[in-house]
Order: sequence, then C-alpha cells, then structure tokens
Amino acid sequence: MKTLSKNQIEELYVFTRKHYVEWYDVQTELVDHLANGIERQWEINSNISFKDALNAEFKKFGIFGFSELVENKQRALNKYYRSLVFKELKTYLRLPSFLFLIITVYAFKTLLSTIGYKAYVLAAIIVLMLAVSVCHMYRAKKAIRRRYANTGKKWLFDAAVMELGGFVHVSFLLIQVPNFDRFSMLQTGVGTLLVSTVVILYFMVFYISTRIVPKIIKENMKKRYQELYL
Amino acid sequence: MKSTNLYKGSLTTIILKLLNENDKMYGYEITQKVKEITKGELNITEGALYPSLHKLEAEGLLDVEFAKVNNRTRKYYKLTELGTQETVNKLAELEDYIRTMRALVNPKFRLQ
Repeated sequence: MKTLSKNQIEELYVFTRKHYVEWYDVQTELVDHLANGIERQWEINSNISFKDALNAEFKKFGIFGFSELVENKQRALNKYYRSLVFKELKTYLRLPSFLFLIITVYAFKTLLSTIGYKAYVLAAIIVLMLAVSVCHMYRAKKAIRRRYANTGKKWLFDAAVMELGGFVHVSFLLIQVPNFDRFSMLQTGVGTLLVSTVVILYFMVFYISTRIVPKIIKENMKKRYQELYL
Repeated sequence: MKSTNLYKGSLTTIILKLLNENDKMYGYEITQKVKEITKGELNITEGALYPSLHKLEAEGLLDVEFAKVNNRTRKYYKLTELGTQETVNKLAELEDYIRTMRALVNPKFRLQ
C-alpha cells in the first residue's frame, strides 16, 4: 500500500497551519485524518497526485474548512475548564471554608457600609479586576509564545488557560456595571450584601481559575497527551 | 441516507456504541466503519464527527492515546468507565426514540 512520506506529512502540518489551525494537538489529529483519506484514494487510484488527493479530502470539511472544528474543540475545552472551576468552588462552599467565606463577605460588607465614596471603592475594585484579567492574559500569551519558540508547538489547552475557560470575558463585562444603576444598590443593606457576595465570589472564582485549575488541567493534559509531548 | 440532519441527534450514541464494540478507534476509522456497516447509506461528515469526539472527550466519556503509524501520530479514542455507563443509557434512549418514531410513522390500524 502506498503511504505518505515524512516530507508529505510535514506538508500536511504546513497545510493545517495555512488553514488557521495553530494548535499542535488539533493539527496532529487533522494530519492523520487527511493522510488516511489520501492513502484511501491511492488504494483506488495510485495515479492521483498528492495535491489533488489533499484538496479532495479538504473539501470534505465543508465551506468553513477546519475553522468550525477548531472553534468547537475550543468551546468543549472551555466548558471542561469551567466544570473544573465549579468543582473546585464547591469544595470551598463546604464547612469549614464556607465559614471563612461568610466572614469575608460580612467583613467586606461592613467595610462598604462604613466608608464614604462607596461608588469609588467599587469602581476601583472593578478596575482592579480588569487589570488583573488583562495581566493574566498578557502573561499567558507570553507563556504560549515562549513555549512555541522553544518547541515549535502551541497547545489548545494553553488557550483555555489564557481565557480561563471563557471567564476572562466576564471581567470585561464588568465595564458595563457603572451604567446599570450607578451604584444605587449600595444605598441599601441588602444591596451592599449582594454586591459584597458577588465581589468575594468573583475573586474566589478568579483565584481558582488562575491558580488551581491551570495546574490541574496541565497535569491532566500532559498525562493524556504525553506521547505528543515527547 | 440523503438527509444528514436525521442522524445528527444520534451521532454521539453511534460513536459510543462503536467504541464499546471496538475498544479503541481513530476518527477516520469511525467514518469508514459507519460507512461499511450501513453499506454507504450513512456518511458521517468530518465536520460533525470531530466536534462530537472532542465534546465527549471534554466530558470525560472518552480517553485518548497516541501511536506512531506510517510517519505520523494517530490519536485513538476509547471509552472511560463513565463512557461505558453512558453508552448503556444512550442506547436505551435511542431505542425508546426509535420505538416512538415507529409508532408515529407506522401506527397499527385497530378496529375499536
């Protein structure tokens, strides 16, 4: 049976990169799929050129090519990331850490109730959250670039870590908060309690998604994809 | 099968069932196996297969392993313990669905 040479496999990697698949784990699966399809065509007619066979296989992915496939994989990985965050969060919502959470919320509420310029404090917190998110994204992007420079490979799970499974976009939605009700919620006790709970929970989720989950997801992926890492 | 929309809701079940019977499989192999079993009636498209496989993998129903084959790396999928349990549930759901559809499409004529 006629099979693809090492150079042709390398050409397939270049082909996937040209079609906007930058993640090595996704590229590898696509390269094998395309190679299988090409070899199948050669079984029927060995005179078909490599390029013609490749184009015929690529057409099977539809008008959007590989982009839909990559988007869906990214979505699935982000969902997995979020599920890990919620799983970790649940452990903090049990005793005794739950008591610590209540104390923190209460302390924050007391602080918000006693100080003047509440709106400014909250605005400063939102700016801080945004700054931390931007800083996280910058550092994660730098890590992806560094790894690519060293190994020539980019991994999709690194992108999920960069986006915190999509949580990072929630931070950017916070820009809208001042437009909602101009902090009128802070005028009531219940409103202050609600805002305090949201802020503390947000910081918890952010801490879990930036400090705990990346370690878990990287370990899981290294274990699962160890053959690709070698 | 002319309409691909009809099988899309059952694609996950088809994948789980095949992996339950074949220990481990790779993407291209799944498309060919389905074609072979259905004698070319059902053609799973690449655009539908991989998103389903990746979703099942992310949900922890599938595990993956890699092997070097003909100058390239092949990604195999296999069922996890959770995936094996889910296969039973999904197959039962599908059988229920087929039974319901059959009753709707081909109701038995009864004299009251």
